[in-house]
Amino acid sequence: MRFNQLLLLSSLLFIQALSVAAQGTPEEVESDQQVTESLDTAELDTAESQLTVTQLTFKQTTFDPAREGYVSLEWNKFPGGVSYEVVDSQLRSQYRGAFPSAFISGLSDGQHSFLVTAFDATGNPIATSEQPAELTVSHWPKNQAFILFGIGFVVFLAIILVLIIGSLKSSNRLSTAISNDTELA
Amino acid sequence: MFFGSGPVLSPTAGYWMLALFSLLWVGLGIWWGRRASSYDGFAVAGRNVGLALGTATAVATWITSNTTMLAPLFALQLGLWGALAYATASFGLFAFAPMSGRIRKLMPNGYTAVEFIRRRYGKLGTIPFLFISLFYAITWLVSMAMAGGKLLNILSGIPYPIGMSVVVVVCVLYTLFGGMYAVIGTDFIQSLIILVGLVVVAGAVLTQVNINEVHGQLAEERPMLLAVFFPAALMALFNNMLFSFGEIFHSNVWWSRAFAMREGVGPKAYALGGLLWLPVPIVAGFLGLAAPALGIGISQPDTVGPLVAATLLGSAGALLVFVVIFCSLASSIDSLLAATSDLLVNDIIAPVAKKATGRVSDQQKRMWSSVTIIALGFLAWSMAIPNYGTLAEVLFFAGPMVGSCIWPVIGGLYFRSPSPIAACSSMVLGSCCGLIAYFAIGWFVASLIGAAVSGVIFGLLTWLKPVDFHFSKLAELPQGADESTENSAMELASSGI
Repeated sequence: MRFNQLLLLSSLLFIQALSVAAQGTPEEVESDQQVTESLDTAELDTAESQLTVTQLTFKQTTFDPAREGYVSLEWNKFPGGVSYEVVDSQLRSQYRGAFPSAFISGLSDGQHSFLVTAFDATGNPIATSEQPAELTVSHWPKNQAFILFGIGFVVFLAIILVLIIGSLKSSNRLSTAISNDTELA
Repeated sequence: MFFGSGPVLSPTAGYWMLALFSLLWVGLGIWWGRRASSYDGFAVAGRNVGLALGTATAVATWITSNTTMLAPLFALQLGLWGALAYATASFGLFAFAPMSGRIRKLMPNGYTAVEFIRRRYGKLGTIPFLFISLFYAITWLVSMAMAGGKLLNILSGIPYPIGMSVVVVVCVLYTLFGGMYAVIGTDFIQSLIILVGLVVVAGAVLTQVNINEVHGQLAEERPMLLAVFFPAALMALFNNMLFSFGEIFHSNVWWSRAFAMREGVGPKAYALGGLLWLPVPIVAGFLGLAAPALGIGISQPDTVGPLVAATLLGSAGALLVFVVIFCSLASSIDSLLAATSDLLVNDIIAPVAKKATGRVSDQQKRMWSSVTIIALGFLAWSMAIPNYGTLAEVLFFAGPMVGSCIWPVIGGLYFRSPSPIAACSSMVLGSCCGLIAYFAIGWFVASLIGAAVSGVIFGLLTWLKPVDFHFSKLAELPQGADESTENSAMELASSGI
């Protein structure tokens, strides 16, 4: 499955590289734009519908409350997108990379929302998700954390205590056995 | 600079490195394997491993892919507490140090941890212990095979199935040729490469990272990673420590080394190994904490450590990370293959064959070892191919089970009164409660709950229904053992330890 994804990603990158190469010189691009302007309405409608099909969207936009303050976001690969950026509601960058998924951690209690933007090979934004991924972070109660921390500490101390008592007892038994052997000899 | 945009090394460089180290390990395996003519040589390296090799094998085996890949993940998920929680795993080696000396003394001719449980608690204790041992060994193997595939993919773009398959096949090959001699020999070289590599990577990263900037950015954007009262992280602290206790106390990987070391070497080797291991997850954890502050995009959280090091240090750094992690993977996979094969041969196949034919020769056991190593490698490969879940999810599922083995092992090793029913009940109920906690709360409390419940049950039943076990029974020999080993067992039995 991973191999297929990589093949797909490589193919997309290859297609993107070809399309960039096919854009040619700035003059040629300008000329292309003039040609585009002359497109009739029907052609524009077709282009719009194609854009609708290839929207940039999160695979999951709502999540169960995150009790540990981290979340994995995933979105579809956008044609021509060679990198992606995820920003939070304060427009702080939370992820920038080539893969269509992001792991975001260290979030405090409260509502968090994220948007993803796709960039082309030249670093220009080409699409942004319309619907944000929204997450509520509600960390585990501190009482529960302290109780389990305390239980862990007690179990740890008990193990160390048992090991010390056991080692002392076994070394005493060994000393007794050795002194008995010496007496017999 | 744009980080996290793809593999740092080219696939060609990755394939070359893979080929080079594959040839090296297989070659060394064949070289060391020349000494593994008898089954004792193959399974426990002639029971004559000294302090240097003993320490190196403890360090190399414990610096697994989990240390280099999960410690940064812990830090990325749970912040400073997460890095500290992972470092507490060294306590497992410290605690096992005195135990290894006693194991060697009580069972001078032993091979496996299950053999100890069988002699100490009979069938009642053996069944759950054997199940837990095999389950844990397989999950550990699978998690490391997955780590190999993910690492090669993230660093050099080698497709996951290819990288994972090569790592598994290479480890199977050299373990097959050399048994424990090859495992301990390669562990020595691997531990040196790992430790030198980590010092270089840590030094180079620290020169490129401003710690104040990392702290400032984390405090602003990801405050919980620095929070003192981070609930999940607080719960994870002792959970990870108890998980490591359970892993080391029950796993045949550590018992087989205790049997392989010369008498008196085990306690020193394990304590030294723990000391050398302690700083590794702290350094690795720092890489995880630095990632968000450096703007390195993380898609697969369990690859954050290698990705940060490789991105910061460029191609040379990526090569170094590649070598370090390939060594840490190989040193753990080979140990697991050898130790689990011992367990299958000594505790399942040989007893069944003995019942059927009346006698089992060393030659037969040697042959079965080879077959089981190949079978284990194939099993790990087939389970790792789907690449399902993160490394932590795969490994920590076994947490409650191994946590519930702590008390039956230490209680049975040092005290006469624990009974088979206490051992069996504590393992079964501890595992069940731990698994409930795993699903109801999360992986970060499962081992803790397993160990706590198991401890209460074990203590209660030992108090209510004590037995009077004689430790001399642990030294009893199977039929057909030669005269010298029989004499050493008789000496131990008469010493009354």
